Amino acid sequence: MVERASRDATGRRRSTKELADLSDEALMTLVAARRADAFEELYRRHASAVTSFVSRICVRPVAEEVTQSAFLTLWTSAERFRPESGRLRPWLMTIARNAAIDRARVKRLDVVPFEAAPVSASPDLGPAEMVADRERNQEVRAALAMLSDEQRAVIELAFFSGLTQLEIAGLIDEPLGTVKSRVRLGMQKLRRLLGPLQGNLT
Amino acid sequence: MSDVLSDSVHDDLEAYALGALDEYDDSRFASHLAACGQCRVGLAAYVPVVNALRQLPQPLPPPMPVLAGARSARPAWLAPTGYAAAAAMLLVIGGGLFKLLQPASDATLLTVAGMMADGPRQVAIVGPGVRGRMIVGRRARRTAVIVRGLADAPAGMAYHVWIEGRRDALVGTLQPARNNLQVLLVDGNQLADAHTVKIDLEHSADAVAPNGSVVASGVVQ
Repeated sequence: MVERASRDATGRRRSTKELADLSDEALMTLVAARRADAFEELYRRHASAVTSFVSRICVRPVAEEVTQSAFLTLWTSAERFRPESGRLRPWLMTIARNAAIDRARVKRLDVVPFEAAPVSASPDLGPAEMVADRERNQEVRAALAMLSDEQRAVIELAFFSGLTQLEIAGLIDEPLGTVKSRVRLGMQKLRRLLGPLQGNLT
Repeated sequence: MSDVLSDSVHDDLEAYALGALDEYDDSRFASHLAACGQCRVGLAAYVPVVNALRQLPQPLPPPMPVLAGARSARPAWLAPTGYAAAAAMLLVIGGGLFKLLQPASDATLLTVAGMMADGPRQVAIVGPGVRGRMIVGRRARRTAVIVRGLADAPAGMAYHVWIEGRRDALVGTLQPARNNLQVLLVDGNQLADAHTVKIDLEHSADAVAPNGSVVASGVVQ
């Protein structure tokens, strides 16, 4: 796949649909050949996950800059990505984390509660549905707030940024066993807190 | 579930429910699930948790950054570029209305290019020999006015951008940019409640009402 994509990088241009079928690794080969369309596909796949992560460690304008800066690093340094060392997404997250830390050297690393992060717009809802929606979200957030910061962080990184436990361990520099334990205990607590909501949410 | 906890496959239940297992462990647990009634019951108990998490709205990603050194001819705003912050870019405004091949050392134009990448709301601005756009970028955080075809304003005069709506407001003054462009960048959504955009050539100090000569205007749809 990678070899084929690399050959195509100097040949005909792939259609958007064809690009959507390529693996991250193949797209990175195209990005290394300065293909903006491959970059665009990677942005489409991973920008939300990176934003979700970064929004939890930076305030809004900084989070947006850090996300864009991480993707610009991907663009300018695609050849530094080593597929044999792991998936693209955690590599990207590590770049974003380092960019956030770099910012923190000149300015305090702002930590914001999830509620303060900019959010996607709800689909069109009527007033009553909006109220119910807000109430449900508040219940879920309240449950998340009952977790320790460490438990909450690993659960959010797994669920909203799509990282595995092993990838999270690398990202936050903690032993895998510690991450597993936080996931397990955190989820068990959420199960106790959110179980009664089942009727509303399923 | 087993009471033997260390590295037991049962212990992957929560991570499996969360989708946090790697490919190998995920398929290992899936096979285990077929044979373990306790884990199936356990997994069912996590359905409300996963559904609850799924309900939470998520932060939106920022607009895609403008790239340097792109090879592809596709998305117009990403096309042939120079290097790093001094990128060149091809900015297509208004469905081929005009094209601008631009060495993008101008930060304002880079910002406009970023806004254009974002599927923004736009209003055409037209006047005798004048073509342009008023652009509101993502989440209405920023508005740009970019116009071509205006001669430099005479001394003491300025091109003022006015919004007519529930109440008329002066948005700002166009500034000369490269390639015979006049550009204005302002924070926030200047089109809210607007029905018309007008560019007036007025005395620089005249900022009370749009009473100069109209050089271009646009209708907000």
